[in-house]
Amino acid sequence: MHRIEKFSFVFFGAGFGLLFFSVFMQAVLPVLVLRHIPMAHVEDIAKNVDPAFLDEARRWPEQFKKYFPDGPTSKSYAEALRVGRDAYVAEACWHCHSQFVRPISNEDMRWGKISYASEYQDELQLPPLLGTRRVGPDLSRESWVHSNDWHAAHFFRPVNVVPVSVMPEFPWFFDDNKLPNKKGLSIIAYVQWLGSWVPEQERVKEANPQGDPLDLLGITPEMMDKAAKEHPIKIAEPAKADAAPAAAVPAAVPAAAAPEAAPAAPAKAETLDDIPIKKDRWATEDKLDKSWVVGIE
Amino acid sequence: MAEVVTKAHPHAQEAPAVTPPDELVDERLVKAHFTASAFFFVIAILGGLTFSMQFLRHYPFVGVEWLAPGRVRMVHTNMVAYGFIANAFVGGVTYAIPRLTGQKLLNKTLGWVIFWLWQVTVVLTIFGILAGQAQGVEWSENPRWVDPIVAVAWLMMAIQIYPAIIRAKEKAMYVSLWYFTAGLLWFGLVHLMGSIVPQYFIPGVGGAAVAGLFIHDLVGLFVTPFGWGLMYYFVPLILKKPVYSHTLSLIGFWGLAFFYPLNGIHHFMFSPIPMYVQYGAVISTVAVEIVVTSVVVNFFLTLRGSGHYVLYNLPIRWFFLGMIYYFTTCLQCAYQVTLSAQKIIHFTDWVVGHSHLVMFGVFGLWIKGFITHLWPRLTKRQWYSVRWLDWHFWLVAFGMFIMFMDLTIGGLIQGFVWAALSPWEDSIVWSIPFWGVRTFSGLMIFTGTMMWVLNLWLTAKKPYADLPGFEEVPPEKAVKA
Repeated sequence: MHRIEKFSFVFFGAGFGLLFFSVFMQAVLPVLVLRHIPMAHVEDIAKNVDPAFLDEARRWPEQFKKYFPDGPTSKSYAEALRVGRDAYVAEACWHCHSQFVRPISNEDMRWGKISYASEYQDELQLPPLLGTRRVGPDLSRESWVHSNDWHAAHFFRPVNVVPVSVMPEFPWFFDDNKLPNKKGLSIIAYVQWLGSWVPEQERVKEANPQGDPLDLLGITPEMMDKAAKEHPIKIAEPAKADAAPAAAVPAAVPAAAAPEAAPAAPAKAETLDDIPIKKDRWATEDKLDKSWVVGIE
Repeated sequence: MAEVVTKAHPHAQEAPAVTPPDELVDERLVKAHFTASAFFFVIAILGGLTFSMQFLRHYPFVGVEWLAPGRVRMVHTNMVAYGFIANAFVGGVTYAIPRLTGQKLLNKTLGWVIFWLWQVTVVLTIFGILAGQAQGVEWSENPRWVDPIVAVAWLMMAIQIYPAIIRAKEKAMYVSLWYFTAGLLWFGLVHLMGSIVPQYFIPGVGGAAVAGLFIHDLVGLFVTPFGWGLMYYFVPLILKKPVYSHTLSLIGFWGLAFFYPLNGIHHFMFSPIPMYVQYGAVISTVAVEIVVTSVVVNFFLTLRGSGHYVLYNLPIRWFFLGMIYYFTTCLQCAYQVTLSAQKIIHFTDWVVGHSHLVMFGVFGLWIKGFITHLWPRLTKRQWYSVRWLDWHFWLVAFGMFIMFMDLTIGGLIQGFVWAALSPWEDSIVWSIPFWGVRTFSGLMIFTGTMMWVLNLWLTAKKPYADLPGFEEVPPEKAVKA
């Protein structure tokens, strides 16, 4: 028993030996596994100037010219990403927002593609900003969920945009004219960049009424109408099994069966407009579409 | 040795034995570290309290960049770790190591250099973070340019204490000395790793693995060994009986050394870090709970037969409550690390409750225990108010308990609301009552702490020493023969 109570044994055995063993197991090994994914430098990332950055230049031209005199080039985008990330770290944003979509708890339904290793292998994740607490939502799929002016309003005074928000105000991201200064422009560009590299990122979020992403894409309502007329969405033939569930409806709700039967099969539904809206949908609970209900995985 | 007696006690009638003047320990230095610890503790609590007001939308410094809530939060965590806990531990070992080894620490002046260097580090941390220079490494948000100073202070500390341990009069070291030996080395290596590797070398998922290792090793290989070491020193000392089992303490130490560092990745479960490392973290976290149980068992069996100390001796009461919280929090840890529990509780207030229970409810209470024990001996004065000590204890005990229960329940609600795909705002709205209770419990802890700090100050300020055996009587009050 005596030897393992002596200074040198404790010092070298526990102090160095077991510590290096754990560092090997938990740090060296994972890094070896990931070694084939090279770290992207900010200049490489900035080669694709995100349209959100271009929109900043269009939306706040004087501010943009003042702080990025070269215009929305790749070089100024790289600088904006760096300054934005540094502001994100300095203001402890990473202590309330995560950048890490987990494969459980329905997070992919809420935010998008589950986080994968190679998306973190860049200079802007040095040190990593995966986060350990969420007061606000995850931001790693934040790109284009909201427009630039939403972000500007939100950074200035979050409660104006999200009334229940507990996020602090950041007036020092703005000049006296309440338009974003360099830090403001940069952090908005940084947040709009998060997740922009994910191929499946849905740029147009129909369920989100807060952004104006169509405007960002340069799509006007006239263009939408024209596209709808030229390319109507074709509907498949309604299945013949439609008649059977109507018969299975219990007699307790006979009223529901009648309107159900009437529009059951129009001759041929060419577009969405041809299918009438079933106003009594909720009366026939056994036909209610429950595929959206998910349990916790 | 004079005990802190809070009620009339049968043994109080005996004349306490007088401790001879101690030449081994620089008592002024120990007192200085405890003073600094208490000072930064107040700053830490003020930071935490103000930050909690942000969650109730009543932040007192809205729009002030230098007091932005996010920055204040980082000041709070860093003051707890480096201002409060580190100072108290250094003070504690400055007292304990010379008495355990029978050797003075290397150099008296070096001790004071370390003291001032450390306070400079802590103050620079505060101003650096508030100025917007925080580093993005959790638990090491002090600016990058402060990290080298920390490394220098650590090196000086190693030079200061290792010679005393190497030259110890007894070659077989007591368990506390193993913990101090390994703990100091671990702190240096872990701090170097945490401040350099994720910042300059390894990004993303690999960096997260190292960051997780850093976060956890700071608690497990710095705070825990020093805390356990000091607990193993002071508790038998106060109880005047040996630790129940030397073998068990040995198992505890080597179990800690082996299992604890392997836990690190449990801060990033379900991340793209390779799954075998994550499974390893689950297994070793559960294993460490078994190791922790050995320490808890050792404490309670040492206390067996001396239970009345919990009623009458305040330092033992602090250690006792800390031990209960310790067993609770580590049992909680073994449960919450499982992948099933992680699905719900990760990212929620549950984790915040857990971290407060550990850092404050365990180590904070133990620190109060040994500072309460030592302060009269260092100042040679009896307590200004023993009633305030009791008030401090109960306010803190209940405050911590309420905070823990509140954040645990709040965290569960947040996790389930998120998983149910409710709009995000629902989790905020549902959490606000819990955040209100948290602020209330923080106020309890703050009030108790201020009573304690005031007590420390008023005790030290007493004009004449009145500790039995050290009484100073002013000339004009001397009884004329």
